[in-house]
Amino acid sequence: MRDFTKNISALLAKVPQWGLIIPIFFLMLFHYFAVIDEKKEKDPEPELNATPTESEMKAFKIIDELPQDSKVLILVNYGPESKYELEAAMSALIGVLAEKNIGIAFATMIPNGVESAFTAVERSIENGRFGKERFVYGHEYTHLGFIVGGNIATYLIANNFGEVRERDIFDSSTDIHQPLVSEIGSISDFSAVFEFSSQTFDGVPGIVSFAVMLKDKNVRKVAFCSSDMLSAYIPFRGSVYLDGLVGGFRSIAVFINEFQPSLNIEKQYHILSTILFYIIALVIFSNLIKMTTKNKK
Amino acid sequence: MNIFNDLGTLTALVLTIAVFSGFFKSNPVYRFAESLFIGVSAGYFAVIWYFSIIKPAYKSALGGDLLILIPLLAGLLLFIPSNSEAKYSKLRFLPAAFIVIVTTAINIPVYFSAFIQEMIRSSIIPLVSFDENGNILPDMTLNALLSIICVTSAMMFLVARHKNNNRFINTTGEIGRFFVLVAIGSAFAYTLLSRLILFMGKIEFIINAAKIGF
Repeated sequence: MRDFTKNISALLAKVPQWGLIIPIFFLMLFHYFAVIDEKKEKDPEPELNATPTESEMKAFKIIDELPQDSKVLILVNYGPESKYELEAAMSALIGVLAEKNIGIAFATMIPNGVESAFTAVERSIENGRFGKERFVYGHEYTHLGFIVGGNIATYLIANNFGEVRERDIFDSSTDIHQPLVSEIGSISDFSAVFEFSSQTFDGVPGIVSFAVMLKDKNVRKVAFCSSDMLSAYIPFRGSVYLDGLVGGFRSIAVFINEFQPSLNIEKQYHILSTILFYIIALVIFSNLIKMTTKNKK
Repeated sequence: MNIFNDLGTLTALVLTIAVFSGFFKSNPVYRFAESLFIGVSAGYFAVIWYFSIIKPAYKSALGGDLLILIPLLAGLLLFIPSNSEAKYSKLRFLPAAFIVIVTTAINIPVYFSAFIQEMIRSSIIPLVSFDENGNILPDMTLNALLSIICVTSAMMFLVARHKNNNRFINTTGEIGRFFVLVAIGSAFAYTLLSRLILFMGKIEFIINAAKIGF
């Protein structure tokens, strides 16, 4: 038996990195075509089997309670590296806000985030069940562009929003061309502030810096973060700086399932869980082989 | 719809496959995609910085706002050669010192308020949680107690344990070390998960593009 495992471990030692990644890749392809499509035919609406946590429930409640015809600010602090995780959530949120006729002002504090808002809006409109006939830039939503300066930008947004909103991303005056933001004098005029984030600023989550610097503590703050940022955001989920947190792919799947089921997040969730299963199996298997050969020595 | 009508999708598809070819080994196609990515990123950032900083500053200066010349002058000071022995060469430290001072001044209240005050408070309060009927919620209460043990022991490990022969502090510090390792491990696992999701997204993109195009 030991000889057998030794032979296997000797064989595995010779396998290059791609030799492990390519089989995983093909397993995923196989799973996608063979299992998921077959499952979809049998059960067109697979269940997610995940219940919302307390901080997620708080976030959902805030979104539910947003008044009709109000306005929200969305800080888009993610780029293409987290697009797959956060874009679906943002387009789902845009869909919910559009249904309630809530005006959206986008702003970003990272250069990568400039395009993210537009692609999310596009994706939201392309979704067959977008609940609004017209979604016009300047009237229903606007983009205030890249606010430079990290935490200094956060301070400006929190306490001097009148200056931030003067011109939009296309450098046109918002007072003249955009009825949406011309009525906004300060950050308190927004019903809520959302942050979609895949990075921190000097180690601090953007929404937390924003909340610390904010003079009006009644502004409601909700963060959506990618999985790699969870460890930075989770410590603040019960604090006064964060009223709700939807963090990581599981939470985002729960959120989308709750608010925009038409985006079919269950499929991605099932694929991810299967890939994780393969990886865990691979790690356990390789470690077992290592342990056996170590004992032999 | 055919992807060959959509040049953007086709380019993205080809470049994604080119980057994935790097899994096999470094090859000219992979190196081309890598160089293209670096070049396009540099160009993109140059344009973003130009339109976000240089153009508005230039317009302000033309509009009579001469205060904008101060940061311009500070920026120019950074170009003084570091090996220069000229009389005023140390002026190059001024803008750097200013940036450090301002960043520190802004970050200290944020760090103190967010990390020290609020994070510890939210970790342990409420110590005992009750439901609507006044019954104790055991999971939430246990969570708060565990948080206290984690925070205290981790601080013992990081601050008080060094050069200390007190047995209690040493034992608590060892427990703290365990929690610190758990925190580092979970952060690593979350990062891995995030990259996997990105990888999965690209795979889905390839499959969808292939389904549409062929």
